[in-house]
Amino acid sequence: MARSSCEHALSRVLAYLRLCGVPLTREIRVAALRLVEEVVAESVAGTDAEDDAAVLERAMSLFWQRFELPAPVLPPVFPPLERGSIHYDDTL
Amino acid sequence: MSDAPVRTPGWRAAARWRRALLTLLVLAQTIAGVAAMQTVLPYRGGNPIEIGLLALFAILFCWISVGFWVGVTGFVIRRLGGDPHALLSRHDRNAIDGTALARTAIVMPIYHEGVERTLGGLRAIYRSLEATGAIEHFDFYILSDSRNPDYWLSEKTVWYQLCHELGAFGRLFYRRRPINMNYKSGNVADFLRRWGKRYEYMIVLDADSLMEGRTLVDMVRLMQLEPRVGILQTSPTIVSAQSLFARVQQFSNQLYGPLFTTGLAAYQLGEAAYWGHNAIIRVRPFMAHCGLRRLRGFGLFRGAISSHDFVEAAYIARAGHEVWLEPGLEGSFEESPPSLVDELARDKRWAKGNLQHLWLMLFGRGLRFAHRMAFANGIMSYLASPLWLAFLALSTVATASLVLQPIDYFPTPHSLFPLWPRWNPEWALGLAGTTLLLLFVPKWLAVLDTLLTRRAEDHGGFGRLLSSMLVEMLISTLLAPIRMLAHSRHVIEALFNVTMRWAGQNRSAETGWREALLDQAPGSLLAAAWAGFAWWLDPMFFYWSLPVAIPLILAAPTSVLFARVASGQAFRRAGLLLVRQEITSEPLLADLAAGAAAVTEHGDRSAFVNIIVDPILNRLHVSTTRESIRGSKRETLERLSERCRLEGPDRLSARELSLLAQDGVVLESLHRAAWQAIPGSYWGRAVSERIGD
Repeated sequence: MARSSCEHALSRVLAYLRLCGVPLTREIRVAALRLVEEVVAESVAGTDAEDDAAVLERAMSLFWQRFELPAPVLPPVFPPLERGSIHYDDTL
Repeated sequence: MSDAPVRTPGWRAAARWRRALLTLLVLAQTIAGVAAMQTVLPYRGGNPIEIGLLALFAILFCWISVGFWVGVTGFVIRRLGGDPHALLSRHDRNAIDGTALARTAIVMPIYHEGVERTLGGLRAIYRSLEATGAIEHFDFYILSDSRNPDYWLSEKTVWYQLCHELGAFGRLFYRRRPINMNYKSGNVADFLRRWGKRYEYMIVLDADSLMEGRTLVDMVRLMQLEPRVGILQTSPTIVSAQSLFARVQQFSNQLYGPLFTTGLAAYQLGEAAYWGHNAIIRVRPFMAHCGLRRLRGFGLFRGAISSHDFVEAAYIARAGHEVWLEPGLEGSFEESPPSLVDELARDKRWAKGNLQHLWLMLFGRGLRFAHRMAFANGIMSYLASPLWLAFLALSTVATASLVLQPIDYFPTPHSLFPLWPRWNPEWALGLAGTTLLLLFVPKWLAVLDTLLTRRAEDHGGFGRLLSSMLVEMLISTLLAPIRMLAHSRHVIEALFNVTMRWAGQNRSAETGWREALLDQAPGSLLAAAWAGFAWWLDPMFFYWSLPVAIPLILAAPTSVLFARVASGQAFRRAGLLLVRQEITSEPLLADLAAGAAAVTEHGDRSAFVNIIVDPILNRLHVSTTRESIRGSKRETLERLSERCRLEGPDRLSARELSLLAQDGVVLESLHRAAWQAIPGSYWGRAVSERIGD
């Protein structure tokens, strides 16, 4: 059976949190559920496709606004520059 | 001005007499060979064709004589317990172990290489070095010149994963050059300009290099103990071969390599060559003396130097530093190209690079004579092929004129006595036999050396060692004429300065029938026509032509079958062409195999899709891209971004994807759009796949 837009939205929110390394505690899951509930309650009935798109878009927007995601620990790509020059002899 | 110490080192006297002796032996042997050849020729070298034949024979015989004596010297030195002048012989183990280390950068320049093998190799090297307890003295740099976003995005992603897995934050770095000028040497030079001053030494790796941690540590300590040394080159052992072609290279490298590198090192001593990788370089003199000017000659001899390593060795030696090849440093590995087609593609670049050195050999000022000879050696590695081809062509002309033209009893003008042309097949056979001896005696000496050092078990025991050697000789004999013809073409193309494409090296794929047939058809047709003509001329000449003609006629099936992994594994199951690493587990290689999964990206999506969908990877790439583009380019980017959002990345070119992937704003907006996309859309499916929906 096809999943509803709110199921997709909840699944994405939880997956995003998981990928960001956020432990899915009871509080987090309840907060995610409430976010999706709020978005579904706000949504205006239209065609199914429009409904799906709107719910997902709104749910993810609200998610990024409300959830504080941990900043990933990123390694330094390269060390500070210490410029030097290569010498080219006048002759071959 | 040189910043190296000035006292004349003791090895120079040894180098002088050793080289003088080698010259004497080679010249004496060549003179004897040419005299024998003269007796074989019908007119005793009395006409222009035979003079040409003698001249070509002299050069080629001289060339193989050098190889013969280098091999014999290697055998003698190994039997005597090693070269007393070698760097490793100068210091005992305690002195080496007690030497302080210094800041060293390990750099791996890459260009469109598979990340699994290249960065998997770097991972194994890192772990091996970590196990020595000396990791704090080393930094690692992945120096990418890749342009295709699927490559460089994968490289950066895997670099990030490795930093986490290895705890290598601040020790493992990634730098990509968007504009890759001057090939690999330009890549390394760019690193040196940015960070060279941070380090005393730099160890240069190739994309397929593997080095033991203890070897890296020993190299740094030897450099510390020997302040005159500018470059210390190891002799890499070929490993991880799968196809039959690669297993043959691996076997011959491991069986004959120690002999030849010992002999070579004995003649080069402190004026050795640098092979471009698996070597340590003293950074300060390298930066001060090894900038590569563009050549200012004509044609091939104008523009960037494409084979940099020999030139850098010559330049650092010109500044008063020494360059050593140290075969005693074990734990240095590389891989062979998997097929003949791939080897020849690589040789095409190397042929041009080596021929370019002719300009430096003739006009480079202040270069050491030994390095001019190293250039000559490199040039002859490729020039020998067209000379051999010319020898065959002249032999055909000589036979044809003998058969088709009336006999010339007075080839020398004004001679009172007639010359009766005589063909002495038994003398010719004797000369051919001597030539084969020169080629094969060093190989037999290598087998003897293996037996005397009780290493036969590394190759499956005495019987299998001998059988494998015969297989290797047969396969090498089949490959030699194909290489000869291909190298001749490469030399001619290089001399006419045919433009080459710089491409990453294939390190795993097999050769298909279509590719092989297209590649080898001209050579096969030429060989068939030549053999047919030889038969028509004289059946005896036809039989002489067969050792060259048959391999060329069979070149296509040979290159396909030899490139197959199944063929290589069949020989391995039969216990043939075995090497130590296939019998006993090598920790570094085992770690490379075990870690393959660690450097493989999940899923089958492209690297671009991964960095759009994955929140962490997206943050990584957003935070490491340059500042956002403005102006008209911004509009173009936004149009591309919109297309990518609606249709996915598949319809965008590599260049367009590269543009998008270099812009943080675009990456972030595509990431958000992907997570907001409906499940049936391109990005919706990509997200579902990532989260396992």
